[in-house]
Amino acid sequence: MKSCRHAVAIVVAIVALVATAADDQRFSIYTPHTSYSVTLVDRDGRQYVPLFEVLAPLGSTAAHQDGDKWKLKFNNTESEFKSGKNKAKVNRKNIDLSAPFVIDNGRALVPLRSLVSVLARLVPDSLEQREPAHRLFIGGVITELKTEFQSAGPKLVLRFSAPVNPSISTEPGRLRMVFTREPVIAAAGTQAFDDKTIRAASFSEHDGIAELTINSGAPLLATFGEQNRTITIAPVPQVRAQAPPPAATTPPVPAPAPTPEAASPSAPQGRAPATHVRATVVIDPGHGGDDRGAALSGSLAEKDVTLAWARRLRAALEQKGIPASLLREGDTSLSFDQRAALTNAARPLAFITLHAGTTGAGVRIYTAHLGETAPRAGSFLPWDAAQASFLDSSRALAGSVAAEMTKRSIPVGTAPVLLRPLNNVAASAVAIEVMPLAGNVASLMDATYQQSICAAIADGIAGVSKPAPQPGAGAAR
Amino acid sequence: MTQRVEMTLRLKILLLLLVIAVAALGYYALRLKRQAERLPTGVMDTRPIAPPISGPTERVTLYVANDSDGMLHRQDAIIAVPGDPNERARQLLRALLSIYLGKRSPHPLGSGADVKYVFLVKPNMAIVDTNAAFADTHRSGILVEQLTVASIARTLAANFPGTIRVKILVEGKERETLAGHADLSDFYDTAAGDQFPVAQ
Ligand SMILES: [Zn+2]
Repeated sequence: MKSCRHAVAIVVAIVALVATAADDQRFSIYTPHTSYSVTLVDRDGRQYVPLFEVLAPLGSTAAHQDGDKWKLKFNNTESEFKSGKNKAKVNRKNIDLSAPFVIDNGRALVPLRSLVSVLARLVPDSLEQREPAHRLFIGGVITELKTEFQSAGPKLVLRFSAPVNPSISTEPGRLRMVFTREPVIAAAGTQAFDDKTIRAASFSEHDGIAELTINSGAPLLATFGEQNRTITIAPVPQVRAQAPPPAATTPPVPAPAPTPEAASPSAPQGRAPATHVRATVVIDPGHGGDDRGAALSGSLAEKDVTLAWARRLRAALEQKGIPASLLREGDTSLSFDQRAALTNAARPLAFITLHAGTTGAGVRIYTAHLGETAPRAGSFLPWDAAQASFLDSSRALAGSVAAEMTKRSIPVGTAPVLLRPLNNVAASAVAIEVMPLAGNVASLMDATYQQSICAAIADGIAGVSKPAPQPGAGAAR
Repeated sequence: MTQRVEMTLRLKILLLLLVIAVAALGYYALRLKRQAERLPTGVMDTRPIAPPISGPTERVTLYVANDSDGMLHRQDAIIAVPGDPNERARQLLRALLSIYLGKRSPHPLGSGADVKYVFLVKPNMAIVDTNAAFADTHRSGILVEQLTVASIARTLAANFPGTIRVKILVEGKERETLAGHADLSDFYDTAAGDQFPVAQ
């Protein structure tokens, strides 16, 4: 009966996620250190951006609401916005907003059209907003895409100026590549090739993503090379017995898995499976939506802190060549069952659920506390004990991350805990609770503090996530 | 004629004095009532939960949560021993909670937090029913919540041999989490191979 209820929950979850993905208007921001997206809000037919969510990954951000005033501290600057007013004081200078400032349930919203003028007063780096694609490039960060068609083969070689990890989906006559986190740009429009199998490639930017679609007369295969700087598109070889060539840096996954990103509009369910899938680390920013988590201070909710840390951790992992994805990109409500279902569907290398607390200092790393009565590895794993057969690898992961903290003299402790969704995850899974620096809660949003700890976590994950040989698929390496 | 006028004047003065007296008494009564209303909760907040010890007593082991090192610490205590094992288990947990509610608490709980009942269910289960204040005022965080749950479960297991699985209810109902983290929908298994750290 219980498993039946879970099944319903998962189906509802997937339907809900697909629905929100379609409705949500995503706005992507790319910086030299990280990239992330926020969900746009519609007010009186105008598009607004949640300012706190935009700034939090960029630096130390704190805000508090005082009646209809919203006071913001970002790095060393102070700003003040007033609900319903077009004028705002940003870093000691008055600026005019294109539409009135809005406070909605404690969330500060600025008109999308004024975002760049607000950010220009706060961020020293160059800003380039690409409208109507809903993409913002900070600090001149850009990944250029150059395409090169070779009629011998035939094949289409895509060269990128920096590593990429797009989600790829195929459907009859089309291969679609979606870049959500990479600041990929290319000449927009369609390039036609004089070929029967690879007919044309078209690049477009919209809704906070870049998309490359390749039209073909035969099934295509994408192969990664040069540490994910090139992708070669070629027809699937006619001999079907061979497995597709594995990626250069990570192991192939035995079965295609849907992308776990709640906020990603790409790779809708029910499409033909992706031709190329790479095992990732799934990062769960704890809480979200109605569940604010702990009230860390008067203005700081745990759900915002966990999202900022999750983005920071993803960047730290990607810097080490470990692909990572977040279960939520914005302020989304996700049940424990949804989190576990999305994670298990992605068959990740590891699962990290992030939380922030105020008890003590440093970092606490937790594994699932499973009763001895829970079944061990066996033929069938009940939902509540899906973690049982992964517990040893989860403990190894916790130990590896803890060792990295000790190396850096960061206070650390480990413990088994009853914490969902750890027990429902069928992969190495740990929860990480970050505590403030020297008791100063604001330090939880400090970029340097986040970066130093996330780098240690990423090293700890890298220490244990060396690919395990996959039966039957490892020979190609 | 004049005497009657004087009489009514004296009467008026008397009446006025009487009205003043009634008002003053009424105000005093109201103040007393308000004070009385405030008193019981105030007493409940500060009073140590462990009852005054009379009759047979017993030395027990408590697993006391400590926020500063994030561990459980073994500590002895003397509690009264009622005949009923369920009531004895409740007194045991109230002794633990009295430490948390005390002045130099190593793991503060919200005022008014209490254990309403403990049911020892054979062969190896204990159900702990806490009051709303226990959960509603609990601080939120993985460590703080887990310290509370582990300390209750380990304390029960240490003093009631055979008690392995402990479940915490709030006002008789199952809760998803204690304060956003510790999973209360599941049993806490005190015999699991991997246990919450105990200071040596
Ligand atoms: Zn949390």
